[in-house]
Amino acid sequence: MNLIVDKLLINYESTGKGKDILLIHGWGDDHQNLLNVFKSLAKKYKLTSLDLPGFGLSQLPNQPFNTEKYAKIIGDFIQKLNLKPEIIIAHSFGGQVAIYGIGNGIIKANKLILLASAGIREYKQGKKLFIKLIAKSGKLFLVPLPQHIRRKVTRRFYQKIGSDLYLNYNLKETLGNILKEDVSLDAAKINIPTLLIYGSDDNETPPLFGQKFAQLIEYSTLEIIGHAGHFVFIDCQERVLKLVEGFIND
Amino acid sequence: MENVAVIFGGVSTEHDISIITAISSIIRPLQLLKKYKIIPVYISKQGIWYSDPKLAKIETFQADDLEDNLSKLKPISLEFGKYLKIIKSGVIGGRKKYINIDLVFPAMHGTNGEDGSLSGLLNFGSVPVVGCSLRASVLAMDKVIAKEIAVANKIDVADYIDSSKSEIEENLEGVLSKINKNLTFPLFVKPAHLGSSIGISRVRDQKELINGLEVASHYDDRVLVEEEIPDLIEVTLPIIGNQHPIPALLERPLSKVEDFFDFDTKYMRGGKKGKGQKGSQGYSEIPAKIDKKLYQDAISLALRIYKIFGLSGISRVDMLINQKLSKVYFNEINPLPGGLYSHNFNQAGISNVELVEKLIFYAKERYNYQKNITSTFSTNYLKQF
Amino acid sequence: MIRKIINSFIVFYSPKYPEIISYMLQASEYRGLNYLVWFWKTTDFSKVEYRKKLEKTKVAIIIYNFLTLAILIQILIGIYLIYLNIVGRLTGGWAFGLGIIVLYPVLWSQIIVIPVFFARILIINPYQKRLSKKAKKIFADHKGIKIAVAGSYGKTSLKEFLFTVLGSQFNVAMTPKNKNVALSHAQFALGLNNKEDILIVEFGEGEPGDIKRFSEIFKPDSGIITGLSPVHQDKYKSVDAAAKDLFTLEKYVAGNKLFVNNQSKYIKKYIKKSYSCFNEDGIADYRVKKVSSTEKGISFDLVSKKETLKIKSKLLGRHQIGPLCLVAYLGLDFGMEKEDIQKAILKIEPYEHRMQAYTLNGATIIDDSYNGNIEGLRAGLELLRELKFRKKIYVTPGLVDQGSLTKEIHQEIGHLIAGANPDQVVLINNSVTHYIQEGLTKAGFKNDLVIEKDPLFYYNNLADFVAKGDLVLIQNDWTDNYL
Repeated sequence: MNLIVDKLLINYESTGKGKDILLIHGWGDDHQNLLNVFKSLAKKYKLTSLDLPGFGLSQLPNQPFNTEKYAKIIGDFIQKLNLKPEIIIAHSFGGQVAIYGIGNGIIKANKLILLASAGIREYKQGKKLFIKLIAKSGKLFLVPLPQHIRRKVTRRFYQKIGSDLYLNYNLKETLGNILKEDVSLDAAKINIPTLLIYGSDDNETPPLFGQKFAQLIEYSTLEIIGHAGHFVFIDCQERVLKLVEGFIND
Repeated sequence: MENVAVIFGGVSTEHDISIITAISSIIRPLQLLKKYKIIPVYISKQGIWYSDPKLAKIETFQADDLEDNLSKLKPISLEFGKYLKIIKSGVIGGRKKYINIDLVFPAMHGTNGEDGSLSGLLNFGSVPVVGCSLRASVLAMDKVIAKEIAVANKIDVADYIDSSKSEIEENLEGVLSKINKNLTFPLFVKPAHLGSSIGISRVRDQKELINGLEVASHYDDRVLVEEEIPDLIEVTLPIIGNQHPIPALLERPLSKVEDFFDFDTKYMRGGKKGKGQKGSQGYSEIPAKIDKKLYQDAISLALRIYKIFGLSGISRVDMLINQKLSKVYFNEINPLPGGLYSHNFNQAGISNVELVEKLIFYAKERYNYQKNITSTFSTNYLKQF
Repeated sequence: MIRKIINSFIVFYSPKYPEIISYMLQASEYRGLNYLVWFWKTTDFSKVEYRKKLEKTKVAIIIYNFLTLAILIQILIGIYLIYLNIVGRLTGGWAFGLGIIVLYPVLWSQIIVIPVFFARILIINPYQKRLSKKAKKIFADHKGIKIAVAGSYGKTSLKEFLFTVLGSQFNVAMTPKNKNVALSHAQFALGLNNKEDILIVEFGEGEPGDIKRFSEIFKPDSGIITGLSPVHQDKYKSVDAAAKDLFTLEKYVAGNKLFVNNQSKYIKKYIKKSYSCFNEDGIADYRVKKVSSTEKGISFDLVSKKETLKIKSKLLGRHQIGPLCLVAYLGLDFGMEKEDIQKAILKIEPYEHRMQAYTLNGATIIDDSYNGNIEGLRAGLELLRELKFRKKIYVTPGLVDQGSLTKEIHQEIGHLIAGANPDQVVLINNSVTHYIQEGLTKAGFKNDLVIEKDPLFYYNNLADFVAKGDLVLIQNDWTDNYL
């Protein structure tokens, strides 16, 4: 289904009946992965999963966004669809947006579940800086090449280092904004029960992030799942589902 | 060998479906036919025209570096006049290469293509074109005008109201009250000119209606709101031919009401995976298993529509049936159905190769027919002036 | 032609070369002479592996690695000679070196035959002898009833039919699929446990004396001759020679225990009164009545004074009636109930690619691409003729290795096709295509004729050519041995 939010076309999918659960996906993902994993909750709840602007079938923002703008879009989306989220489940970048939104009263919910949430910036700075340096100096060598070759080379490079940066060329500036923003202070303002789930082998958002958020959010529980990566809810689907169900029914 | 240009892609929400239609339902069968030289002409999402043999392969469009590859190609231009020509600038010294086009096979869906704009453009080229004329395409692709024409011909349609984007933006209250006065929920809200299911919502109350109007007017400057037919059976009939149209089999899509409008996309996806037409089987019933009389009624209604609108080459007529009332309603026309609806023609005994061959024949027939209708004549007005 | 040769040349020096040589050896069953003949006949080596690929058996891998290593050593020697020349220790070394490098493909394609030949004489043959001896003893001591199946075509399927029907009530063992030479018989014998009620062994004939040799080892209680085709592959000089060999079975089984399919015209003159013959009309005092033959299968009544069997089968084509009669008859002979026989026959599935029907885009496709003889072709065309379809398409490349009879046979095929009168004939282009065309013209065939130069392209896109109401019969796969 489609909805216009703030002049942007938003694609979403709803399933089930009952109290609302809102699913917010991560960077480069779309609404489907989360919905597939948590569809069993649709027996008791109404699940709504949306494509964030620039992802899935939702429209690309016409100017660079930041975390706040994404939070506002979600807030408006909730209002427009008349949702009263009992629970929000958010992954990675979606978590960053949810923390910001709930911390600042833009998004309202009774419980929050964060899966490998992003939003902490101090830890990986060394590595990021290094990559940035290579990227910058690499670009110098590419200048004399024709544009399409240049783009091809940079794309290969970014793919090699596994960076999100190149997943969507059009969102480059938006991503730049997002990567600069830290939501630690916003997390401290969250006062709803929060479940934090992290994968032990996650390199993008290491368990360390979870520990930090757990300290910042007052009513929070942290679960670290062994042998799971950044897509912890896909890597250890059953385990995550069990934790989530337990938390919801608590 | 005659040069057949297959034009596809385009600045349309159905860009990708157009690529599949062109490559799997038109270009490949034409290659198998071995009677024509195929010139693929691809219009990018940005509206730039390209022509290159590589564009006849689906792999080209599945590759990650499509944009890089495209930027290596030189855009083409067209020359109109006595012949339609494609002009390619050469690699060496910028020498231009001209390709005469003997026939055009458009594979465009939706806006900026199926809606008559391509047909109109090609009118300048004095060349046979597969499918519907400019006039027929324009009438068929405007859901509001199409309904009005049907009503004028005493053909049943679902009750509807139409509105414009500006009206919705400036006087939403007025639009809502007009809808509430004339129609009863549940309703369908549709962009008036879009070919596929994109932008369509099924709404059950006022709030959903407002959202639906916003979505539809996001895509189009005209919006159609219509009542849902109760006890609904949806059917569709692809038809080929000019003055003497030939119907394929009445088909009944089998998806749920909520997602019925995604039928085309689903079919295309299923078709690709299943290799061949297996994919369509789960989604539709061919021929539709409905009452014999209703079946006949639907066929004759569709054929009437085909003639009234002056459709030619190929089209698909969608109809709605109220099972309880045994009544057939005209819904809309699709002047170039996705994948040429070859899965249906196959069941009707027309192979993919035969289908493109027939469509080329109809294009030439229409072209010759129209050539005989005088369109220029000499006068001495200028001298008298 | 010149492009082909250039192509071939490139392949000669490509890394694929050892694979191609190994494949050609494998495909000619490691018979040196056959391989060499093929090698020198081939102009375009890039096409050799077009349809089939090297099967990675132990022998193939050994040969492949051996070739690769040998070639590498040769190139290294060449380079070394050139090197010596450069450092001034061998005048003219560059010429030797280059020569050695350039010559490697021709050299190794020939030399490889020698180890293969010796391996045959020194290792394989003595091993086979020992094994045969063992097998002979096992068979002699075995209590089960022994059935030998021989003939120029249709053995494998008949063996499968018997296995399905008799196997539904008895403990039956048979030689595995298409394994029909002495070596495989011996391996089969070693796997037996003497508890089997019935043993079925397929006799594949390769050269005169084969049937005798097999019979000596197996000592069959009864024999079946499935048919005789006019042309013989391999070492038979004439039909007579092949027939003579086949009918040596008669010396090992009682006259009425030799069952012969006397359907084909070539076999008629070798039939003796004492044989039990079977064909489309029946077997012994059982007559075939009420035949129905469609694209879904065949059904008929098998009637005698005592009883009537209602036979229904998924097999396609009237030529299967004879074999089914035999199977039913043997079932009765072994004491099976007629209901059980009927049920078991219904369970017989068509072989893959042998008169196997499926639907594609609503059209019916009968895949008989593994057929390889004129009798099968005749049967397929007979079915094509009698089936009612809106449009009938017949696809064939012709037959493999018809030797001196190539021209005659393919002209006859032309006649047969014309007789079935399909709406379209698609001939996969090769060296016999024009003979078939001649036959078609002579027989007055007037419908659509297509000569297809790219069979893979055609088969891969068959779905685009057909629609509901179409029938497509595809017969005979043209192996690259004979291109």
